[in-house]
Amino acid sequence: MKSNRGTRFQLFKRKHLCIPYGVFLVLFIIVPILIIVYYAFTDDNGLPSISAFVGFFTNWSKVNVLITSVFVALQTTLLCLLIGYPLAYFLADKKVNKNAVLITLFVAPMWINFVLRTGATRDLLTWMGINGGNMPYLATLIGMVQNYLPFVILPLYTTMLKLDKSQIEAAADLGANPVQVFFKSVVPQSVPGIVSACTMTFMPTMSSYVISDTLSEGKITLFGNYIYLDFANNLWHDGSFMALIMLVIIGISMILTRNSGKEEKEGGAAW
Amino acid sequence: MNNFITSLVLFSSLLIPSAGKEASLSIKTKSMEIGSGSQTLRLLNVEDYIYEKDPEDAGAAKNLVHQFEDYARDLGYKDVKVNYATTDTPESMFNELNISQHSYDLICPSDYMIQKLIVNDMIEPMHIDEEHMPNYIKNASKAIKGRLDAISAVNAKTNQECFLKDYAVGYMWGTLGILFDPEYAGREAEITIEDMQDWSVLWNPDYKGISSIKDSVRDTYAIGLLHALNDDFEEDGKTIEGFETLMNKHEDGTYDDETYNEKFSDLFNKCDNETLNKVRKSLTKLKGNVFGMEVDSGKQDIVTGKIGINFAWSGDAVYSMEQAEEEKELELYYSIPNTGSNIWMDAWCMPKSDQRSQAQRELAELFLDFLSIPEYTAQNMSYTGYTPFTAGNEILDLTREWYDYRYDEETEEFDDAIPSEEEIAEKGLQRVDLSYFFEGTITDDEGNVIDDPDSYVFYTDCYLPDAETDEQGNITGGNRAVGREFFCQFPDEYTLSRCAVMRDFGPQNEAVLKMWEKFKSDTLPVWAIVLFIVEVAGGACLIGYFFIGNRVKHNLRKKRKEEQNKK
Repeated sequence: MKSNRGTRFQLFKRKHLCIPYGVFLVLFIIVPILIIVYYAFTDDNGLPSISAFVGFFTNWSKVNVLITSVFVALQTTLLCLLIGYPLAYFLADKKVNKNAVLITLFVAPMWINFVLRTGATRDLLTWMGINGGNMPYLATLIGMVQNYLPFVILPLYTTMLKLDKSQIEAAADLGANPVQVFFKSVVPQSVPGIVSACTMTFMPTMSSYVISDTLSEGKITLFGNYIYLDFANNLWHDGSFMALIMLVIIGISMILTRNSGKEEKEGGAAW
Repeated sequence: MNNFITSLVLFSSLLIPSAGKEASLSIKTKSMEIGSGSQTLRLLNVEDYIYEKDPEDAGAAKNLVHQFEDYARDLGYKDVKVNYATTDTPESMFNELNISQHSYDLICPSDYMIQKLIVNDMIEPMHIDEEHMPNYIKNASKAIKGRLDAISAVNAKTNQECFLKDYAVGYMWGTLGILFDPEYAGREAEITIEDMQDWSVLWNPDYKGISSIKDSVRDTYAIGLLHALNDDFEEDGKTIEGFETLMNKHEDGTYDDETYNEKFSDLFNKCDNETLNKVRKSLTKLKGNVFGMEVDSGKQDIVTGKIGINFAWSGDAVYSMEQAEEEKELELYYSIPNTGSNIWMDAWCMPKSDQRSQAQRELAELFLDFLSIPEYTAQNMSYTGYTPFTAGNEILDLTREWYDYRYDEETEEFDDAIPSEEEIAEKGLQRVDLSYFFEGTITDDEGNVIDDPDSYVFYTDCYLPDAETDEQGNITGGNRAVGREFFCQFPDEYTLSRCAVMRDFGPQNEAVLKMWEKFKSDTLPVWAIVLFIVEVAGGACLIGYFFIGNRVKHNLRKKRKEEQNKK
């Protein structure tokens, strides 16, 4: 009996600590994805069908929405990088950002629910004369950048903290001018941060729903809105297929960024 | 691993594309009390659509569903619990029912959705008769109930034509119209009441960027249709009269109310492919002229002054008017344009279920009858701002208290004397006859129906601005379909004859939705396309530069090495 108990105790291994998350993963991530795949390739009678597939690629308006989404996502990502990169570089300087108080301030907006924040932004922009009525793209981009900037600053910041200072100094000593130092030493070192910043911004922007809806006053329709529109109108198969397209795009971007993931271990990006 | 986690985060964020509109597809359940031996009535309704107690007002009556629990107990039912859930649109109600057909005893969708439910064989008939629902039969407005009852749909399984009179118990009704702020400051020229009585105002470039429309297929389709088919048009070699011709012929008496409404209704329910194309074209033009599309924010935006014109549901219009008056002392007006509009009705029906006991069915019918008792209907009416389906003494009293000039707020008494002609002229009163709504529902203390035509007549000055009236106060012309809260809640019979029910699109549902998708998806503006191309090209060049540059360097190095080796 005793030995039995002993083995039973030994059966409980450290990896079993993953069980709670494993259950969660299966129930709320894997099963839903399987349901999406199932709905994407069946029809109303539950039979295998490619009508959603054909419907998507023969429907110009859907492809159009995809293009618009990519456009908005690209602009958001670029703007966020443009603003976030210098800022992260600046904040990574310990002299400026003592005790990491400043970085906390930049991340603080994330603590407020983004729906509320977007509502406030809408009022602010209207007061400034920018609204969905006259400048839907500008209003949406401002909202997107405001929302996703912390997701860009954080990974860049953690990468910047680990920049090899001696390499930068060496480059300068060996005769590189500041521009060359930046492009040949700082940028290559921060590639992992840039990559994770982009993945954290690009895809969520494409599928975002509330920001574009609120700030463009319903005039700009992104992929997320379209998926919702289909689901709300009972077109589960078309909606699921579009969700699947998003998954595929994410999968592709994951494969493309895998190389930088290897460097990440050395660079140590936080995300 | 890091990438894996990132991907998981992204995956999971994808699974909830509507994460922001949290409740859009989900259901909020307010009480989940199912005890043994007790009976539970499970309801599904739209949000904010039933009287609920204001938590700050200690003296207010209990939530209406709790009052029903008491009411049922008094009638001898043991331990009745109401399980009240809400959702946001009739569409999500349909979805919810699809997933869990046996979870609800009563649901409250709109007219067209009830048709769709019948077609899909998802609801069952109820005992809508004197015996089971005496209050509903007695108090329901004859005219409005008549409209609901006449709607029919063909059950696709049994191929039987079913009329809503056996399936639906009316709850609220209303119209679609234009809510506007006559003193809107965002524009130099003033908003004129004349312009607001035509749907084309939304397309009018003079009012560019100050109006909002609904981000929902059916409502916006309705105005697109009213605009696109306004003039006479050719179809299959025949000339079909447009909305404007119909209106003119109604006005000059060529068509009586009934013929006109029939013709109007036919035209209003057109949804063939050619019409869809026309509607889409007119909506695309509309999109460029409006401030935006909303489903919920418009009623507040017109109060805060973001917009001056809002395409609104009558109940929301009442809400906005009250808010505007309270917050900014602003008088908003609601107009039902002359060429006609939509009348919609929300009604309770019973999802088909073989798991429902006879007792539960009876309880559900008791609840519907309870909702039609004027005392409780009045609570709903003052809470939601929508117009109830049923009238009765309390409703009449409440309407008089709110709107009739003869109600004295200080003494809280109503003087039912007919005002003299001088008084009418002096105060600018209008005489509004609401017999279509109240007739046959007013009773004396002993429960006998009083049939006094004068008691359905209201004298009010909050109805129509600048309407032309005769000496008795009857409206004869002018701005006759514009008004304040009273007009929103109780449009006169004349205005109602210009409103039609918009039926379910049936087999054209998908085509309409396709049209809507097309309308919603915009091609990028030229500047955006140029910017996009430049960026993509720039990115490609950059990558190419690094890639080729590295290759060249690599080759050079190789050559150098080889040369060194040779030496």
